[in-house]
Amino acid sequence: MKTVIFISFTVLIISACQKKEFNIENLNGNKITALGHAGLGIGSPYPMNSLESLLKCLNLGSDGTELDVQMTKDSVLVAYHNNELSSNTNLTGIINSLNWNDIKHGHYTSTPYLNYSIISVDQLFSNVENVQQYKFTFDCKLYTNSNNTDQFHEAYINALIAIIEKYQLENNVYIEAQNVDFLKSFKDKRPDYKLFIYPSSFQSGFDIATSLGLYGITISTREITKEQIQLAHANNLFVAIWNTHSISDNIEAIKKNPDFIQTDNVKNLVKLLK
Amino acid sequence: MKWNHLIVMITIVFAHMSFSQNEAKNSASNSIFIEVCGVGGYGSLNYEKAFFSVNNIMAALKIGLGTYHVLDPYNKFNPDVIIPFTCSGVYGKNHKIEIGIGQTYSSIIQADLTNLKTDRTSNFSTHFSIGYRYQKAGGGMLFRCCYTPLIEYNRYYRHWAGVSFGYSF
Repeated sequence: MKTVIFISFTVLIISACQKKEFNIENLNGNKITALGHAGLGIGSPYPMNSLESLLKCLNLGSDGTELDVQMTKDSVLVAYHNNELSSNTNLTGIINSLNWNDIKHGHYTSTPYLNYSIISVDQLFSNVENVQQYKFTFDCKLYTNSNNTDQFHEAYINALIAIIEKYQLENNVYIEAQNVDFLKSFKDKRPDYKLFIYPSSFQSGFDIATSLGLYGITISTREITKEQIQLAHANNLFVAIWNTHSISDNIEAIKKNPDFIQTDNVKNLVKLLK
Repeated sequence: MKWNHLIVMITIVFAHMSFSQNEAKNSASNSIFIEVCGVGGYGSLNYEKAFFSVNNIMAALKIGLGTYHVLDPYNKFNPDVIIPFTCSGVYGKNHKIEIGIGQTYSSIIQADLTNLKTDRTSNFSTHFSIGYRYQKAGGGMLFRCCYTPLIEYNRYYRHWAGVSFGYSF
């Protein structure tokens, strides 16, 4: 009995130590770009989109990170996820109803004793050494109280272009959004930018991306199969998937051959792909 | 003088006076336990010393150590340090009621927004605890389940709670 346990244990250890080999085939030079999900993702004591979370993600060896982007009333882009600031900060209201001066001293309150700051995208880029070596996906959260949506989209797009051009990140930034009108306006203004639709189902995303001539689709790994990714690739659409939390989620995601993975387990994904 | 510092001083003086009293013999006066969440944030390792124990009443001092991150955002060894210090009163035979008050010292690493470096910011926060404790007089397994509200930086009230598992001896 002892021998059986010993052999099983040894086999388990050896198999755990073996490096996993993946035969990746995609549009991204057969390489998957490993991105953090708003930094270190859900489950880290660092709040999502905080400077600490984003920097730590980059310093773990990832290729870059996704971040949620909202715009203030005075057109400053802020890295923040939720609609309502009171859900996890010491502020109230929505980002677009406030000026940057009202927000810049705000901090996250989600974890005891930690009061990490809310940051602007400009602050993030100015704090990353060699920023052009990284990839960034902007998940554009278009929360606003404005009745003039077209004007809001126009201002948002202008702010995005300004920050991207300021840091010469045209080739490093991917823009993703759920709003088709926003993507259409962006495409009209800057057809060369890499735009992703972020749909609820693969089919609707596929239809929108092909009809608008977008760069790709961003979708939860639960909502897409390996075959659907092959179909997207056959139509020259890049695929970014998210919602991977565990080691097995990351492995399953890699096996689907996407071009990008936005993970909540950055350290593991980097280890699997390097 | 800030009132939180006053609480610490009163606690220390009280403890010093009480150590001179005779402890009840044949009762476990030391405990080591892990607290999940609770006054250490997401968790802490704690040592508790009972300095007064008569009949079913016990008073104890507790010190803990917790952290969130050992490596900073630049991946360098630079740990967050959280040290809760609590004075507790406990009543009951094996199944007990516990009530406590204390201070938490937190020293947290944050990324500096201006110079690609890190800053360490230190603060004191007040905490309370009220809850249930299972602990036999002669020692052995210890279990606690407490509501542990925090007044972070002595400004913001936060509802919080913790569960502890450990050993008394």
